[in-house]
Amino acid sequence: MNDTVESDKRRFKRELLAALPNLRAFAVSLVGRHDRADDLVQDTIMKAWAKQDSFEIGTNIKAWLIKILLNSFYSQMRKNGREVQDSDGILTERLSVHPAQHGALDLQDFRMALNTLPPDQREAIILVGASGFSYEEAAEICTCAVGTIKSRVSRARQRLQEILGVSGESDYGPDAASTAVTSRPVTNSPL
Amino acid sequence: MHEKPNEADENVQTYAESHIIDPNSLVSRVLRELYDSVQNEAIPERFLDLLEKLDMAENSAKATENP
Repeated sequence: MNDTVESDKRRFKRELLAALPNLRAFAVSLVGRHDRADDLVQDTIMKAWAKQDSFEIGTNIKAWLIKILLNSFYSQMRKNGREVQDSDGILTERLSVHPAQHGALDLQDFRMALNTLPPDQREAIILVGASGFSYEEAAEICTCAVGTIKSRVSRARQRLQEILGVSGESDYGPDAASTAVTSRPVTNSPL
Repeated sequence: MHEKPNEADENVQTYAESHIIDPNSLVSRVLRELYDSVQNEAIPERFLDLLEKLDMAENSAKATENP
């Protein structure tokens, strides 16, 4: 019997380790900074470890960990007040003179744009757009309705497109109309 | 026998959903690029150390419980 407990523990640790890169990717995308994201991940590991008995082996550990991480994230936010917002619109301004060129976007610009979104929208678009969860799974993780997730994702996407000055179409390569508008010289262009 | 009124609804829904987030749109691609770039990084030492410590703490707690 003890052997089963032992192997469950080992399996939990193995699954936790295997899920860590994904958890970090989620955290960094959500928080926007490696150092703060890693603090959140560390906190999540400790909490997950403490409550590992409540994890059902065989269920989705990625979703389970992200749920724990989100709890910490929101309770930290409640404690520390709101995150730093782009209150002066400096970032938005900077980004609007730095539009996407030829279907390429600077990753750093994207990160900053993502950070201007309200956290619940950020969370939704990352879960569905990058972590690969379905709307239903994302709703489960956020403990909200599927419709809520859908509207958050949709608003997040629209807002990002506005800030970054890109269209929502499958835009491989430049299209004539937008190239004409964006052909002003750009400093720091990745191209 | 037409018991599948939902099928059409489902198709409509799938169509709508696929347009909420077009996986080929620039925003989607860059979001995934950002995510994947972090996901492909090696797990930082601090987390491996932390797991090691948690494991050890548990084992030594067990040892004191059942000597």
